[in-house]
Amino acid sequence: MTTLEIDRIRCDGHRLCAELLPELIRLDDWGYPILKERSLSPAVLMHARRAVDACPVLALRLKQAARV
Amino acid sequence: MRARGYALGCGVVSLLSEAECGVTATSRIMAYMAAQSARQCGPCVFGLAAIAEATSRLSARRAQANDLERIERWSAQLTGRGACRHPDGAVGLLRSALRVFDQEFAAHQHGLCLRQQARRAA
Repeated sequence: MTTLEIDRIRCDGHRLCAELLPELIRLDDWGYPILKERSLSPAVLMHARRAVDACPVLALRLKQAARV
Repeated sequence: MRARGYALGCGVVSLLSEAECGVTATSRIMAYMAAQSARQCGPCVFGLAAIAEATSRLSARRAQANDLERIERWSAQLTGRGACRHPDGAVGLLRSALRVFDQEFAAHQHGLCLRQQARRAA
């Protein structure tokens, strides 16, 4: 299972992630991301990758849960 | 503990006398928590500052039209979104205060203080 992780210290509220991934990300009153859900369905994975690539401060990343 | 909404952390016990207003006490705590931010993440820097300002206005009975609604909304938004658990602690206190002092907060939103009214009546 792939999850979306936000590095809260790197994040500066550039807002590109919410623009590119509105399915999972909305913004608070100051432009910082609120994750509606962390696990990614196959349908949004491509959009999530695009959002990760677009973040100017590399605050987003995808994490692959290890199979036990 | 987690199932009941509790968490481990440092605690302070402070006794409020009958004459003290719960809204004012809460606003002092929120101002302190906002000032203690490590300033490493947006939700804490902006969220706690906004909450401190709004609770301060409420305490002074000079609330803006939607201050109470805003602190209720912001307190729901901050949990789990900081780089550390400082905003969670601040918001945990605020949410319990909004619950315990619900009537006092509602009065302050309308420019009244129940504590002050009680003092005058005594």
